[in-house]
Amino acid sequence: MPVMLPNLRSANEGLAKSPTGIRGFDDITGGGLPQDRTTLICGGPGSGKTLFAIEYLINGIQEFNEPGVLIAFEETRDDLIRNCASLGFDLAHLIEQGKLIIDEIVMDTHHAQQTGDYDLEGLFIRLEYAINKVNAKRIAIDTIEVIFDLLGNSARLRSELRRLFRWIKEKKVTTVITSESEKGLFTRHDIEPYVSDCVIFLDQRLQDQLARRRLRIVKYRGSLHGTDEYPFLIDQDGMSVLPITSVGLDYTSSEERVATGIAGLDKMLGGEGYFRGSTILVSGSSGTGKTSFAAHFVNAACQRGEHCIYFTFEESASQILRNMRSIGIDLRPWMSGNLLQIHAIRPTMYNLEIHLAMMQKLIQDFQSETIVVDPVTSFDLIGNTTDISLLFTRLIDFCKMRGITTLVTSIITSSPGSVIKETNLSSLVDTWISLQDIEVGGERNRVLYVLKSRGMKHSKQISEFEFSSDGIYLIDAYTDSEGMLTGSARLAREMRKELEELEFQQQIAIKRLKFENRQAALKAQIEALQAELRMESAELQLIEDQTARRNTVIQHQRNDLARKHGV
Amino acid sequence: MDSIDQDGNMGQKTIWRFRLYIMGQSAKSVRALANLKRICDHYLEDAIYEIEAVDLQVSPELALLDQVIIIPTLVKLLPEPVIKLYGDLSNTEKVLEGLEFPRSQ
Repeated sequence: MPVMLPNLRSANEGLAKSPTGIRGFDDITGGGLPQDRTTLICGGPGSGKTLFAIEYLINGIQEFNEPGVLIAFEETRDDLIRNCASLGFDLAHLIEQGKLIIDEIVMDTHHAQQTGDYDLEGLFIRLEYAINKVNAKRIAIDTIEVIFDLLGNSARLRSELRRLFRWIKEKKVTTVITSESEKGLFTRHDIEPYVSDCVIFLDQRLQDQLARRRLRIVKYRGSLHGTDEYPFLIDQDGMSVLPITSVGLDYTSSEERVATGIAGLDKMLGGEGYFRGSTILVSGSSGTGKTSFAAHFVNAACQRGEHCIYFTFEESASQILRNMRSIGIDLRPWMSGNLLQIHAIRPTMYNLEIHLAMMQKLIQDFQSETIVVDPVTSFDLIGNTTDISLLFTRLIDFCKMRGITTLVTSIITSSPGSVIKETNLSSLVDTWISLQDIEVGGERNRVLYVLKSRGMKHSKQISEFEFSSDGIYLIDAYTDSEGMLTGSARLAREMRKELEELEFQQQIAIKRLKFENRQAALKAQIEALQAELRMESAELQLIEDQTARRNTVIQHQRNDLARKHGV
Repeated sequence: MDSIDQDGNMGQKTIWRFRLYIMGQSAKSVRALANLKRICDHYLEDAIYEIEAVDLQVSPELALLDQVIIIPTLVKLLPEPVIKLYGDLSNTEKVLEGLEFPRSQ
């Protein structure tokens, strides 16, 4: 749909929408389905198209006071009533109230014999009858394929469908028609071109043995819509579509501070604790006390009267309650006081998207102001780095938009297989507290330091902490001597530098000495050689002198001889 | 009619009972009724036949009775089994085949 961008907004505003009441769907469509038009919901078997249609009708009745009519070709009235009861929808009651009509049409397609020209006036009549009876504003037809199976895909049937869609428009009812997808086709009989207003495709895929449901808006005339695939899920409350929210940076950052539940830690964070609505990462290896930090935080939030949800992926709720009681944190009263929910979920139970959807739903339903995810590293088991980063971007985004303070823990492992490195999360979090075990003099000590905390002055020192029956406390000796520690650290660094310099100097001296020795040896060698040379030169001179003398002697003898001979 | 049995027999003669759903005096409706009468007259000489025409324009709620969405729809009620045919019955061959008429005629 190539629509000029500047027109989209006005087109969106001009088009009346019929809200579906399906969680998330109205967000991605800017308000719902095109009002008084026909929307085609296509998908394979089990993709949730019937549920979409039924939820549209039920929500219409319950939330928007718009009665509905369901033309059911696929399931009987009784089956529909029974199936919907498992989702908490009381269709029978709505029928009794005169708000809903289920018109069950059983078509015997086996003996279907077509003997000549026909039209769908019977369907029109039924629809009109039902619409008038309950004053319906919404219609669902489930599924249209049954008529095709009965009559074959002919030009006549197509023109009748076009007539039906026109008729619906005149009747001022919004219609949802479900249609069966097959082998890469949106609809088995290729009818989506006839529905010009809105086409939605539901998909169900298996990935890593887990079903992944997706929703895609294939077409939506005159309305701006996302072309992405939106994950959706079906649970005991029906359908929810997850808008893929981008990390918008337009949250209003709160200046309000919330206590961490640990006095010493508040002190390190400028004396006041975390920012409300911020994201806190507590990282550390196994057994460093991450869960205890989370529990302190939850405890403090409940004391403020906030609703909290604790998502745990490694321990059971009872385990956490017991362990925390041993350090003086009793969370049970908060649970019975309906301020705290602990949800222990096995990571492998769902895929990432369903986890996200479930968490978002629980957060919304409980109107939670504080949440804990302990630990995020559990998702290693079911996703790759990109997927997990995306999941947390979305979760954090979701929480930030709602001003929910989020504390996540992360287990640091040295194993190379671990996909979540805290560095992946570090850019997403506002405050990062690192817990570490250190060994000093054969003693295991726990220390923490605040690696970062955006927008506040915080201590950069390393603090030791201990567990007591009254919870975690930071050891005062360290906190009181903040300057000293950094001072001594600086001193140590300077001493080390001096030592290094000294070492360097010493090494140079040694080298110099070595060179001097070698030079001396070489010089001695040179002298010896020169002496040798001098000697050899002298010898050579001697030889030459002797030769010269000899030659002179010989010459003299010759001259003497010549004189004697008289030459 | 009390004496009609399951196979639609009354004494020696077979009873054929039809219900034809139509919409007022539309071309297809008129044609369907004429076609049905013609076929019955020709092929059911030795039988008794009854045609009940249901005009949905007059009584739309009757569409619910036989799950009618297509006009015209012919329902053969007797003899059993109940059979539905769609369309204006112009294709005689299809009608005969569909209704399992005695073809020897």
